[in-house]
Amino acid sequence: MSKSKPPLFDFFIFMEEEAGLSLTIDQYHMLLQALQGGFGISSRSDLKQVCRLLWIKSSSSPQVERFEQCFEQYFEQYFQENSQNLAQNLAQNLEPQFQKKNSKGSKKATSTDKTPITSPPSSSTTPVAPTTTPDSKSVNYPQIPTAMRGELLPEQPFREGRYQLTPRDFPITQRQIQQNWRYLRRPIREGGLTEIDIEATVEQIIQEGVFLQPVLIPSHVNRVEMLLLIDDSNSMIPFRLLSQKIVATLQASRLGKADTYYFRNFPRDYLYLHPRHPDATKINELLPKLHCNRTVILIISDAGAARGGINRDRIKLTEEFVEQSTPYVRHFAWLNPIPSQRWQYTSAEAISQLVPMFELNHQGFKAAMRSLKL
Amino acid sequence: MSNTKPLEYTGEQKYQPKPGSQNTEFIKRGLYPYLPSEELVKAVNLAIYLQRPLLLQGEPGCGKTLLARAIAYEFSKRLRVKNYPYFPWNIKSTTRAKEGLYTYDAVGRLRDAQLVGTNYYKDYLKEEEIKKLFERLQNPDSYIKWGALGNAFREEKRRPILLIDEIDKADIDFPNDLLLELEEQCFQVTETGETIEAKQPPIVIITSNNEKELPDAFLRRCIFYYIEFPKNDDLIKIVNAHFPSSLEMDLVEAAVERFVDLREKGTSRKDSKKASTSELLDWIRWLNRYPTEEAMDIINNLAENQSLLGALLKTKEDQERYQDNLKG
Repeated sequence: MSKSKPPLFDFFIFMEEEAGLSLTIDQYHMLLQALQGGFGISSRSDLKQVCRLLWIKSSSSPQVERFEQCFEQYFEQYFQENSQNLAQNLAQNLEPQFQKKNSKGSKKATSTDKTPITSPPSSSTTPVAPTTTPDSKSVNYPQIPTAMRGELLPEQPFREGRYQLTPRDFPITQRQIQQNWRYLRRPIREGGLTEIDIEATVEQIIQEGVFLQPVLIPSHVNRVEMLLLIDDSNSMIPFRLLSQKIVATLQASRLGKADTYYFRNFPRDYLYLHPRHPDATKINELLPKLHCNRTVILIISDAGAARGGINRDRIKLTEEFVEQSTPYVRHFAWLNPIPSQRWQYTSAEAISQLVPMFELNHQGFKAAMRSLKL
Repeated sequence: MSNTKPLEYTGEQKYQPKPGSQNTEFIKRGLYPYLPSEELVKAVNLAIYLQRPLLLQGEPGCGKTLLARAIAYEFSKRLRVKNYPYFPWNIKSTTRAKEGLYTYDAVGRLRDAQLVGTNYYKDYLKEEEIKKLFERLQNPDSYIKWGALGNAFREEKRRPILLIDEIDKADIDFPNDLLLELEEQCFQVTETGETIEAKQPPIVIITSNNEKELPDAFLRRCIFYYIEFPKNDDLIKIVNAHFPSSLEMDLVEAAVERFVDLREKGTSRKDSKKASTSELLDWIRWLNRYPTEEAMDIINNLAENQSLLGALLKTKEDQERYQDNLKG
């Protein structure tokens, strides 16, 4: 750590990059402020707790575990490198910070800031360094024999070795999905008289010279009806969590009607009500019940792009379904979870000629909603 | 800031309300003893010091909402003031951010203006009401009704405690709409052009059941704390704090043990609702009516007691599963 760097800045950068936390400079300032206020300086676990409060924003365990691990890793490394220098560094680094603040602040500020000036360096010199150095040693010694035993295996840090699929790895977040459902609006005034038409009311007052009663109009109701068709074939297994999220947010969105059906590879004859149950509805019974001006169909499927290759039957049957349902619906859109570069030379490329197909990421989802809205 | 010492929350026993079954005043005001964990106390103090909102999450019934009131109660005891400024704001699905600041009674103003314009008011209104009517019309502020945030900003003497309860109930853009007001600690009343600036930075406590994901921009500014379900020993302490000296120690221990067992076994699905601290306290309140021996019997035969089981397990599947579990 060079002396010109602000305190714990290396640590902040390390946590930002290694622990995968999306931190901003504002959050670094929050930590500095907290340290100046006497928080997180009594021990390493104290500091960890403060960092956790300030930087971790969910209770999901993978993120917390990763944070804990990186935190320990950083300080273990750090103390091995320069265990003695830490105290001096901290003291030197913290001091200009306080001086700057003091010169800026009024008399009141100096009096309140005086306590941290004396306390943090002294208290951080004593507890942090000694308590943690023996700690790191005691942790390191038992690690050596295990490393010896596994000599044949290449040494690999834990976080690279194991990949965990957590919801934040999806190309689109739940919030983004929620927001995008809102683009899908076909508002119609309908139902009871619940809203005041201000303009008409003012107009009426002008005409009659006195305010008798407000002019009421029915409120807006969203009339879009969505038919969500989800492919539940084996190639779609990795995306099941994502499609579950889409279904869940769709139910909470305020569309006029939202129905979800499942199919395998391509919709043919029947659509299933649950991914793993045989309850089904006949397609030719379902379609005539749709409201042709309001209904939009959204299909989520890899369209054969996951496996690759061209499957003529798949293309033909998909085309048949599209032709069959076109008269009953307003628009079609297709969301493909496979990146669009990989559609080339597969059935997906052919199917994307039939139905507007979008990649299932934020941009694609947005574009799909826009195309359905037209 | 004022010349008083910086505020600090301790959660210590001596500042807690003393509950007694007779004291209906406490129950009415929702005042109960509150036993925060050490980490939670630290999180509160960090939020007070950094002047950032404290975002609380946790299982329903674990005491998220009660914390704010407990802090207010402790401060009022310690600073020896009668009512420490505390402003709860309960969010509903239709709540808009502006309602927390103020609402302007435009219709009321229009009505008053119309009344004066027609001269009929002399026939209908009494002398006093006419006086009030003109006072209202002359003072532009009189049609403003302040919301919780508006009231907190207008508090002059002490740092007010503002509770924004169940923020996730509102629309997904609601938290973002509040960002500016919370950050700048000021807002403008568009109808009068007046700018309201916070005189004392409010202590903001926000609770969420995580029904909707909160926006990143909002999360970034908060201090996040997840309230864990208390351990056995802490549960016993909590029960004892709520029912001091009226229950036998053995009984409390047996009840808590049975409760924890039920919490573990009585959930048929992984994500179904688990019995929480508040339900434990309800249950003990019921047990409290019986003499110790009878209460012990009730604890031991909980599975057969359908009506009482319903106080702890809230679906039929969970109840059946628990009963089967005990038999098997």
